[in-house]
Amino acid sequence: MGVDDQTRVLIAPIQQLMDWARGHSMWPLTFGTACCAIEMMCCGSARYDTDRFGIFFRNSPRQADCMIVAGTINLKMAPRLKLLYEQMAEPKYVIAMGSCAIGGGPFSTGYNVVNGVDQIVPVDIYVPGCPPRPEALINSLLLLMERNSKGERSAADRLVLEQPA
Amino acid sequence: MRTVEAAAERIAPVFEQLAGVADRCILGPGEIPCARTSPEDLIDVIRTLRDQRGFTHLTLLTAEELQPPKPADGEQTEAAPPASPAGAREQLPQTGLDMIYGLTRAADGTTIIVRVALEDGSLAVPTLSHIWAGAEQLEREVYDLFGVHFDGHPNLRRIVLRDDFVGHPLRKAFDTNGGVSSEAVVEAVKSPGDAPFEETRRPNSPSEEARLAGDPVLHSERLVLNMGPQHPSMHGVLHLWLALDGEQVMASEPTHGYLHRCIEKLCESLNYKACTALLDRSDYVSGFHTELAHILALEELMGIESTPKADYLRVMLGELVRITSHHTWFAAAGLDTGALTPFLYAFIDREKILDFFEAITGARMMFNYFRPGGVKADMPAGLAEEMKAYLKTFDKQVDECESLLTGNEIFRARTRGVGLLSPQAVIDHCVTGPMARASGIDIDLRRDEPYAAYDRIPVNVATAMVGDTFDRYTVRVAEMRESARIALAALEGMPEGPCVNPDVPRAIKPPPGAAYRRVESPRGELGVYLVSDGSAQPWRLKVRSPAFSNLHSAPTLLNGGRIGDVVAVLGSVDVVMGEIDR
Repeated sequence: MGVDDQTRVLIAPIQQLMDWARGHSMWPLTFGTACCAIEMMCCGSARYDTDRFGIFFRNSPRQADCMIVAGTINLKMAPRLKLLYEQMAEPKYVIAMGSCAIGGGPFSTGYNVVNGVDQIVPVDIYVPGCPPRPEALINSLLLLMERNSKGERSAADRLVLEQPA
Repeated sequence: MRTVEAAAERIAPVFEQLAGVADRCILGPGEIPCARTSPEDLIDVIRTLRDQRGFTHLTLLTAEELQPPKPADGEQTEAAPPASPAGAREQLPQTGLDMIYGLTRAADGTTIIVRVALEDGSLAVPTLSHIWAGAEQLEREVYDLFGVHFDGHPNLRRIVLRDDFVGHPLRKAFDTNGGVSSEAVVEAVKSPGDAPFEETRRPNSPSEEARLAGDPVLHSERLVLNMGPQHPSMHGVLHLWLALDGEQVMASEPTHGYLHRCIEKLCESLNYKACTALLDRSDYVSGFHTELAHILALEELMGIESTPKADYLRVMLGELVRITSHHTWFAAAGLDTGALTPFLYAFIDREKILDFFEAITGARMMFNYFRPGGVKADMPAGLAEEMKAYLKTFDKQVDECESLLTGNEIFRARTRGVGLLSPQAVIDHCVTGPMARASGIDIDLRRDEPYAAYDRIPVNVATAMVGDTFDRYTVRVAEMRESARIALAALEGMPEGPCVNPDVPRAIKPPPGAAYRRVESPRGELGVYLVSDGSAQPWRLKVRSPAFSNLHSAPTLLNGGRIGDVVAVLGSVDVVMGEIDR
């Protein structure tokens, strides 16, 4: 990136510009199902205040960059998770918040619980905890933004790129 | 303290009247009377109890698999029958189930359990849905998880599991195969798992059928709207089916099960102490209450008592968690009516209390703190003074929160006279807690059936008369103030002494029997029905969920109202999906 001295126009490769933008604001889709959703709400409250990082929770998948799967996903919810993920615009990222989203958590041996959302959608970041503290979730979002500003690909993209031709 | 003699005296005439249709039986070491009857006489017994003996409140409706007879030589063998192969899930044995009904008399807080043995191989029992409208959904849950058929039930479909689920998981012979395989997940994602409502839902009554057909004069057309399960105002993963005629809600039905996490089944394979960890997660905004109901039932089975100090700690933490739960509701109530600021204010106060929880239990939400005979550990030194100072200023913080909504003209216009719940509907739908109290039904287990240290700390119960959304709001706000007062009283009156009863054995193996204990959670009457077979794991653990019954009264609140009020009214129900689905 650089500014042309004569025209005072910022010249940059479009990809670099996009990476810069994606690295500074991340709008997550709140896919809160269970206990973790309460901690996710705390993130948006006055004490943790994610707004200061450019993180605004969105309720529509059309407006969201990343999906925070906060809570247990069971067989009844699984098709809805997939549907909402597919409704998000590219590039899209997924954060698996809490033990349940990572691997079923304490309910992993149950007859109705999906053992990890990575069986349904590609996951970029796993946040351990039951539930994770709000600081942990904020850290994961910051990490995601940092990765984006470096131009790293999302897990979904990598899945496509790394597929053998 | 309640005396066993007085309870026996109160219940004796009831059994005299039931002679011939029901026999008295022993439930467990506790003092809850139990009557055993047959499916043919069930309606008779229930009608006698309800109409002539004042047992108007249906508190428990569940099933329990009978324990296999113990081997004669006393040798310990595995109680569970051999696991069936995956393909044979449907071939569950057709006998050996008992239906359990719990009825409460509001006048003196007496509870009676009615057991019905299903012996004839068809697992059928008459429905109670024409006696209590709320029984309809409770029976659907039993059908879903146990496969019991309810004769005459208007709408016997699965309620928590997918329609294409095979088997009834709470049966002992059901094989969980160690969890869900990734192939099953791939298969599940392909289809929504439940048929569209238009195909499955039969109208409950001729009048509803007429309503659903549309207005014959205006020739209006019915519009079906699905709200949720992923909707910002659905308070979790609730799915609400609405049939609209223009702006008006003609019919509605809540669907849930999007958070069914098999808690009751998993508890059957955990030891008693480990169950509290899962129960914390069932009602995740007020974990202490589910823990407490479980621990009280366990203590009753084992015949042990908690220490006085632990009793006070239990009361104090229970009340504080009630405040945080009401904070969460308050935040949502604001958001539901279009105000963001109440959310920010309520969560500032909530965080302060969470800090106390963290200092005492080590966790913000998932406490795992109550133990049989007491609590896990004492409070840190000096914290009590800090908490007292905070609770003394608590009223001022509620004032601040209230100043945003109570006098707000928009909020009042949107909530007053909206979503009315009549006292009769409270009884019919088994509604409890602040929702019942807002409709003028003065019930509160803290006062009516004191547990922990509530017999030593007076409780003022807030009620209202109209039963609209605004009344439910005022009752909960009054409860927040009262909870802070009780917590302060518990802190100030806290006796010195050990936090856990030293007589509690290391290995928790209660003698065989059953116990049913209830506590007043922020949503109402939360009960745990616990059955022991003498081993280290519970034979059956049933959580009586207050939010389940409260949620299923929602159609009464919504039908006939406007679509714009749906979210505000549902917010006032204060649902927690984790506890509803379990």
